[in-house]
Amino acid sequence: MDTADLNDAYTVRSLDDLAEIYAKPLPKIANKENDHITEVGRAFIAASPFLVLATSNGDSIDC
Amino acid sequence: MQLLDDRTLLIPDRPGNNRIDGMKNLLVNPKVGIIFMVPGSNETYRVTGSAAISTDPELLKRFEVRGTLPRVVMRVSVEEAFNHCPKAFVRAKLWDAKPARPARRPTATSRPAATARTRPTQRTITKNTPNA
Repeated sequence: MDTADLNDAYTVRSLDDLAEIYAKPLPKIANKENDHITEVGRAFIAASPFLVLATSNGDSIDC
Repeated sequence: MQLLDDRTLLIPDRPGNNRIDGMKNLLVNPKVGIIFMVPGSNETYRVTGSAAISTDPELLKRFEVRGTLPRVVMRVSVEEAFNHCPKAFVRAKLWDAKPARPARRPTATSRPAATARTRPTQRTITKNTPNA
């Protein structure tokens, strides 16, 4: 698929477009982020032998 | 990896192929996204933040393994942290899936995988190199 195809009438291009497709999440789901590692998160991380880390230079992404 | 505190992760660099693509990105854009997984669990823990690459000896020695230190440690300042229950894990039965036997397992590398028949055995090596 070349980039010309991404400008067709079916391409989702705005937040409004997305809002027509996806209902808003429940508030407790929408607000579940913390700004720190919680005790529960700490225990999960301690049990985790594996992580995936992604970075980007603004142009490409490495995962 | 280790938690320095509830807002700082320390992730050591371990030996790899020196492509360091991720670290080159960090020099331009410090933002990282991390997903932690626990085998058997259909939850993940996700962290976003900003990372810096450090050679601080105090940090490196936290990750000493059999006398070897990592070359660098990534310090990640946490911006957001949350649990995520990806339905994809459930639908994929990720942890239930029976791994294919090595001969039938697909590979992501274009080189043919070594097989027991083509790989030299220790017996072959000592037989052909009597002075080794």
